[in-house]
Amino acid sequence: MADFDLNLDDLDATFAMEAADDVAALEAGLLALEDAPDDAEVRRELLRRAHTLKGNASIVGRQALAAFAHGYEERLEHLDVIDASVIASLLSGVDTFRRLLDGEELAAPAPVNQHIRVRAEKLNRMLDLAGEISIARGRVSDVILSAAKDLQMRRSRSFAVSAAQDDGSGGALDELIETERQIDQLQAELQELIMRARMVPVGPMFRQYARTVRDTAAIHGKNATLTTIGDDVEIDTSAVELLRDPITHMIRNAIDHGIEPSSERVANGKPPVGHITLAAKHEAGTIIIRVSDDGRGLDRAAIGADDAVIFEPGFTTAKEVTDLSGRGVGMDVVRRGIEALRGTIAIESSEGVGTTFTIRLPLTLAVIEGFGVAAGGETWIVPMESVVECVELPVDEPRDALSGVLLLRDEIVPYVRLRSLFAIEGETPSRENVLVVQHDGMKGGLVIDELHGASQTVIKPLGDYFENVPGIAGSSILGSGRVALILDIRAIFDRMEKENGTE
Amino acid sequence: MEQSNDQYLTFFIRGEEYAVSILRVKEIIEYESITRVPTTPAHVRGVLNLRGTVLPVIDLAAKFGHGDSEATRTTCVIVAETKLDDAMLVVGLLADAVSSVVDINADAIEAPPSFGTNIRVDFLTGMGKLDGRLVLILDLDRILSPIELEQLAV
Repeated sequence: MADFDLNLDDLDATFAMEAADDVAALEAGLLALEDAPDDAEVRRELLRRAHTLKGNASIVGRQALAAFAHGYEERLEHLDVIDASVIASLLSGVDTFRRLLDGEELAAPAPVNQHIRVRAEKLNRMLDLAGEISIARGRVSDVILSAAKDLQMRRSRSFAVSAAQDDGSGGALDELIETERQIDQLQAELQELIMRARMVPVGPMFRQYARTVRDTAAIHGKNATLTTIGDDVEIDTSAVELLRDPITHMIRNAIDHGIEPSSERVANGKPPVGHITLAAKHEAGTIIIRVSDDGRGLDRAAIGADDAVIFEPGFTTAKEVTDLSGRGVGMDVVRRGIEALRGTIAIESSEGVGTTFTIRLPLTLAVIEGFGVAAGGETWIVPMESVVECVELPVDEPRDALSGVLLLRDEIVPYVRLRSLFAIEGETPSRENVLVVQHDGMKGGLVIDELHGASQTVIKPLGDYFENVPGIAGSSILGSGRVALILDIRAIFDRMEKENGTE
Repeated sequence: MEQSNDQYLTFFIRGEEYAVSILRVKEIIEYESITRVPTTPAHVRGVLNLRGTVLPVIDLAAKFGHGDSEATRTTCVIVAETKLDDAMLVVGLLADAVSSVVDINADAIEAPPSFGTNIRVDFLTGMGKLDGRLVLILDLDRILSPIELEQLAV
């Protein structure tokens, strides 16, 4: 357990990295100034760097460094004559900065120069390219495979082919297949590495919420502090962004509805200051993030026995709309955000003790195991974790209905026909298949034309233009280069349930 | 808002010649198979793979109310930038054929008449006079406003 304001290691490392940058920029700036003494831009940059150094040094409590930076900034501010001796003296100041930094670096946990900063978009592009390469590779292996089949056919057709000729082409092909396999492995390794590089510790994100907790509590006249657990657990950098709003929302809810005023807490034998805990850990290929409070728990009178209702659209317990909650943007939005990451969220609450939200996310967000199906000339991808089994649609089922019910080994399974659901044009084939899928314990069938099978899929967002397409969770690029859409099983089930309710 | 540059890419949709500022055009690619996105309006032709990026493709003919475009040998996709909520968004525009890059001076561009054009006047920034013929200069930011959610909900 690490209280947020005690864990300064990261802050120190960041400071050391930035300070080294600033000192290097000072040095470069001074050299530039020697060549162009009147360059106002260079002077401003020098001042800015010295000022930043001073500020950062005092934030992390390096008083000697801060004091030296202060004097240095003063000198820069009052430069009138710039000649070689002035520059030399200022440059020796740069060396002093370095010595001061180095001296204190001895206490730092890791050598700073082993880290470099990489823009997240570069990593995204690297992942894209790795995905592209694997797609192109897929095409190459298709060609090799068909060449191998071809050769086999020719071999079986004429045993009379001269042995020498046959061995020659066969040998080359075998080598090609072997090389292709090696590339496959290297490619997988590269992709894995890029994924790893995208992982960042949750600590910095978690600690930002200390402010949210303090500010929100102040608005409500309550007292609350934040504790973080598992700061060094790493998650995908895109997940950090996507989790930011949901967690903010949950923390605000916890303080607004959960944490009691100090007097009430004391009366109930609790410590006067409320506790919000953010915890992260890895478990069996998933990341678990918990947001919990030690408040009064969910309002049973308003909610009833089933906690899950708070995830329903439009749910609110707020009697009046406050600044922070009850504005209709509720837990349903949080749930949708998390499911967009292919995660789940659950709630546990006990009266007088507190409430805990548990978020589960897949370890890697950008690649999923997907199952490809075909309907109406397009390929659609179903996340593998939803797939239960495949069966053929019985011939006596109607061919044009939107939905129906199957009896599958004594189990009643409703199904929906993808062609009808998405109004896909063209004639329904005489033989159709059913992909049985499940979500949240609910089982249902998707009637499609053909089954293609499982494969690794790089998820691509559908882009800002589409905002939110019902039934579609994202897209992916097939081996052929075509875009395939990834189905959103929950949204499809939800829509079918709704449709059934209104008819 | 409109740049002082006066070069335009012209292209044909249903025999009519249109133009967009060349500064907005990133590239022109051949028409290839486009994946339809269900429950979107007819003018959203679908998405295609542009070197690993998923690109939305708009059928301008459908947007202008002329029905879906049939792909022919000259059909191509103009990859262009448009503004969406102050962010730049790259989209593909389906054109029957791309014509050429032309210079149209600002003084050869006039406001469109209040009627008579076969597309909505608010889709146009103006009409350009070019060697005695008229080209319709499109206002990409207006045409490509995001599709509304209500339209999508089925």
